Amino acid sequence: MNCDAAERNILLKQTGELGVTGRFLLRRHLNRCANCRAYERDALRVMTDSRAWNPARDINTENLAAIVREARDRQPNRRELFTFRPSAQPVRLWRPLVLYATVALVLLTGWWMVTHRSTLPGPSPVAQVEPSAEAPQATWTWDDDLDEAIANLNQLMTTAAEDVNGDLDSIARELLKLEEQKI
Amino acid sequence: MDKPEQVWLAAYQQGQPEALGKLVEHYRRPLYSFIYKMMDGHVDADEIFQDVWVRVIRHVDSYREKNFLSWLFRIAHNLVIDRARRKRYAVDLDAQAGDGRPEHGELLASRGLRPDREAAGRDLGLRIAQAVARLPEEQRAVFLMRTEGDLSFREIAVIQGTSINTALARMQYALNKLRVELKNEYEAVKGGAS
Repeated sequence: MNCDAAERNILLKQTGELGVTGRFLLRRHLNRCANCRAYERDALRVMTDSRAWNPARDINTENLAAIVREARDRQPNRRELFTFRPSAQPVRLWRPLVLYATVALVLLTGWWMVTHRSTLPGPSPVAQVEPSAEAPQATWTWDDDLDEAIANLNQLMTTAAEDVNGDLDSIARELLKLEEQKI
Repeated sequence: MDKPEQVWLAAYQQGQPEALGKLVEHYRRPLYSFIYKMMDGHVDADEIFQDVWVRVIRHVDSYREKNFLSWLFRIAHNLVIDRARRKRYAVDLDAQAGDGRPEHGELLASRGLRPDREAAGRDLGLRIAQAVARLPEEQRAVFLMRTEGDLSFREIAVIQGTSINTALARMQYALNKLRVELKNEYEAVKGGAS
């Protein structure tokens, strides 16, 4: 440790900001350095003497009274601030409270649902329809003309199948006729 | 257990304006001495002292620091620097006599000293005050924050917006200059006492 570092460490030691190692090294340096010992002694003396002397004049009592008056005047505003615009401190306090309340609410709801499961209304049963005794009667009647047309068509298709060069136009015509009848 | 100043501060924050009076009284001596010596004994010290407390009243809700005195010194330091930038005061303390400003020669010894030591000490106090006033502004601020407020170098560095090494270096320079300037005075006091 050189003398410059020792002087800094002397100052840090006075404020309690010097660590254990620093104190040890400083003590070792001071044991063999008369100049730094003198520096330590003088620094302490100058600071003590400077602190011991107060200014002859003190602050005017009127100024002190004005400060207290200002504090009193500001007080209603401060209360208003506390009421309508809470500072960071209450917010910090309330944040975990809200979290705990939410968790507690969820747990209570779950517990209540588990314990009251039997009384809860279940899903509505599917309505079962009784089979009717008789099937509804078909009201549709077969058309004889249509029967005849299908027979003709079958005949034509059979003819066409037998003869590759059959009358395809006739088949098409019969199909169109059937389409017109809206089969 | 909470310190009394913390109790007063809490009481004031809870709506008791009288508690601020106790706080002002408690911190009056170090704060006023700091401002007074920083301002070279100028009467503006009263005004700055008042401004410090007005700012405290306005911003006490946002106060989050550990050391209340450190906060007071930070406000005072900012106000002093601001004022010094606007007005450049003469450093010569003796020149202040006769213009309505108080003299540093009016410095009083603290109670409890013997009359002979007090007489010798009064001169020494004057010399120290004059020597401190001759220091550059930054060094004087560090020296006074250290002696009047008993602040740590970490706190001083924060107040000045510098590193702890810079604050230490400023204190080192200040002490070295004061040692040189006061060497003769200390030897005289020592000679008179023996």
